[in-house]
Amino acid sequence: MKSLRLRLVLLTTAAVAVVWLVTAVFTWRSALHEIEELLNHPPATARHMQKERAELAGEIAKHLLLPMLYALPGLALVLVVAVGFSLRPLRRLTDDLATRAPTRLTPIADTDTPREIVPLIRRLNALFGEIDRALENERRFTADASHELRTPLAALKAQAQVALAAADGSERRHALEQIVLGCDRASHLVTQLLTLARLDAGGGTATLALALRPIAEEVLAGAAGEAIAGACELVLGEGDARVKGDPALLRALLRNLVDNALRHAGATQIELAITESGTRAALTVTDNGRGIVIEERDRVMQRFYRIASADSSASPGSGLGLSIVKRIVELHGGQMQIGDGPHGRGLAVRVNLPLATDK
Amino acid sequence: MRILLVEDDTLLGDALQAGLKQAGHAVDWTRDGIGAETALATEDYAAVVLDLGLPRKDGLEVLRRLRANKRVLPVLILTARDTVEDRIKGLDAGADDYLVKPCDLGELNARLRALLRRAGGQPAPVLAASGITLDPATHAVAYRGEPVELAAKEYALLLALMQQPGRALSRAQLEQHLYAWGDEIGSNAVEVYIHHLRRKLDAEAIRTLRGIGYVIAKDAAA
Repeated sequence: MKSLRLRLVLLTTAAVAVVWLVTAVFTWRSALHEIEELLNHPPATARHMQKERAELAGEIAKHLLLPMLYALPGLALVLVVAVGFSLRPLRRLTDDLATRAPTRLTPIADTDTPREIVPLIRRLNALFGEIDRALENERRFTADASHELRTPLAALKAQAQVALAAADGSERRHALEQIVLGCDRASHLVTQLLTLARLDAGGGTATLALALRPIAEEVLAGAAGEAIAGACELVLGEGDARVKGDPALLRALLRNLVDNALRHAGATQIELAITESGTRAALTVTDNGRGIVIEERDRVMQRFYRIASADSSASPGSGLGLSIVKRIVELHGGQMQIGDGPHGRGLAVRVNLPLATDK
Repeated sequence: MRILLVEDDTLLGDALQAGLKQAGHAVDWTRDGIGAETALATEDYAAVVLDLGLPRKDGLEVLRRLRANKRVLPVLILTARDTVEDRIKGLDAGADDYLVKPCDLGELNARLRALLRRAGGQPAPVLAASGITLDPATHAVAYRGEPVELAAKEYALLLALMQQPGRALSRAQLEQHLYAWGDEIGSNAVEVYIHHLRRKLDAEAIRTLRGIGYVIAKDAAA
């Protein structure tokens, strides 16, 4: 029986029918006896007749009532057993869930279960699937992160050992300079990892209506020193838009985009534009640097993916910048596109964000 | 000895190159798998230190190709991939040793010495032939029990000859041992170092085989 409801109804009906049948048999037998009695000794007077009639009716009513009275406790017992039997699949499910280790996220089998709890099991299985995926992501991220942290640590240790064993001053000085560089790199990586971990944990994003232009000005001002050192021109186009978002996260988004263009693209000009179209604000960071070939554009948003650099002296990044940008865009309900820069040269990263509605 | 270092991380590669040089090796450093294959096809190395996560071509693939081409030189994998499965995969692909980052430079050099010893068919840690003893771990050289002071290149040249006593090495082969990419090679540098060595050890210690090269005689089997 596939349905809980059907099982309960059938069992109850059967119990009631049995009691009913017993009552009918008793009543039938008693009525037969009384009628026979009446036929054998017909009443003599009209008064007598009336008395006989009342007695007969009373007798029949009694036989209708008594078996039902005796059967009621039995009926109750039958119902208790029936309900217990019907709810057995629910108990099985409860036991399965109670004995499950938190890491065992395999789906519960939904064959041979009443129709009423199948949706519950399916929902639970879907939930297990989601948790499993989240845990898997976490595991992969931890593995990647430990891999990524090991290389700078290995470099620091090896450089320190080289410095200790260095025969002359210039060799030692070079190794020490490399150590300082390595520390900067490792701390940048740790900052990026923490940002991403915080974003992954979700929540805590303030949503305020805010203007993008002041944030863009602030980020570009912060990058000015590096831009001048690298002979790169920073341009902020006309226009502004108000979006709903977290100012700290939007600042991180812009900083990562500008940093990418500055450090890894070898650009001589980086332009930041803010425009409005319909219900969306568009933030575009365009550079005239090396660009990214089309096949690699999806992969650069993956965590720890770095483009093999032709310029081996370029300092490698954390491989997390665009993952951070992508995650922030997702949290703001926006979209992100990577396209060609001006005249097919360089790169244009375009981010769409929903406009603030309270204008 | 001449070592090929394959490492894509600039900072770590720089340190390893410096560290291996301090141990007296000539080191060529390449940053990706394709570069490693080109170097292996064109130069003669005593050993390779190979990272696995490389741009353009994975380190394991480079290693498999190398072994498929019947090349026997020792390969030491130096990687951040630390699971047991990764180690098994690396060794089964043909690596002779597997080190996980971050490693100790001292350990890396010791393992390389062990690999080079085995490759030269000399299991004893201190090399000995024709009255010369050479300890690759400490760079200590002695002739008939008397310590001898050698310059770095002289030491490297002596090491190459001591690694395979009884086998002659040509001038070109010795140059391969002494110089990495970008090193300036004097036209008769090998002759000059051989001359220095003979002066410091004994004129008879290193023999010249005309038209073939130089050799240190093997001791009679004891």
